[in-house]
Amino acid sequence: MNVNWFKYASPASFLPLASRLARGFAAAAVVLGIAGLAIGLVIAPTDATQGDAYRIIFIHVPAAWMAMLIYVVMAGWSALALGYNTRLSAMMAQALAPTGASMAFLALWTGAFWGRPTWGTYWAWDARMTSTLILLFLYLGVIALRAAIDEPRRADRACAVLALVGVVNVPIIYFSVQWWNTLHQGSSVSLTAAPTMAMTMLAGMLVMTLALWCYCIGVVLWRVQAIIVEREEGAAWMARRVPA
Amino acid sequence: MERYAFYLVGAYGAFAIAIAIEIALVRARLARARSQWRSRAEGTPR
Repeated sequence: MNVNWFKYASPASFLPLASRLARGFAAAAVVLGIAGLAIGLVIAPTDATQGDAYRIIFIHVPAAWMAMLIYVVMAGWSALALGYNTRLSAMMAQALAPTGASMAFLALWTGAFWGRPTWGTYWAWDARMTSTLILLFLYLGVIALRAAIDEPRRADRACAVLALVGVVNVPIIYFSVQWWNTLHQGSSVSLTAAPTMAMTMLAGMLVMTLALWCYCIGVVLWRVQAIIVEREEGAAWMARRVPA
Repeated sequence: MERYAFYLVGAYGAFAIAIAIEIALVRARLARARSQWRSRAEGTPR
């Protein structure tokens, strides 16, 4: 199959594709979410030491992974926007920031509700939690910076620089549990080692991760459609095309 | 599960609320943008 992917670098071409893809990812997120919650809350056994409090893992870990991944993807789109001055790249970076902030907030919130019954505290200034809080502030900073600059292309460049500078925080979050002696536990799942958790628990967590992937892609594609329509106002292609 | 109900409801409840709010805001923004686009294309006042 020979597909000209560069065609989709144009907002006019990408808009209908984003609409179709968003519907598919939203439907997949619903199906996977129901399956993941069924495994996590019903099928997976109670943990021997943490009891049922561990079930927060099924939303905490996927949200934390998504918060980090979305930042890296946002920085990637920002680099493309800076390097090639492509409009759609900057719009994608703009669309990712609120969802990334939402995931970072959820990682911190659900982590607090997991920490209280297991560690005895909602919050500690340890390296993992503090660096994740900085990630949330970086997302909020990108959103605030864009809101503070009226001219969209100038806002694109300023936000791209901030996103690229802030990406250094992502490996700090990931390796914080190895580099420092943290209250937060080390990784239970790694690409290079066998998982240290039961297979049912792992399956539930991975299905929920897939569900959140699909959710984030779907919601970002919805948001980028709105951004395209808002920012391309007055473009010739919009005058020729009327939405259904 | 009753022993940890407060923490599970606190975590899952916030998760559900956050996702519901985000979807509602994004869908409303998209509907508004499309409506304004339609109005411009048809030459009707927004």
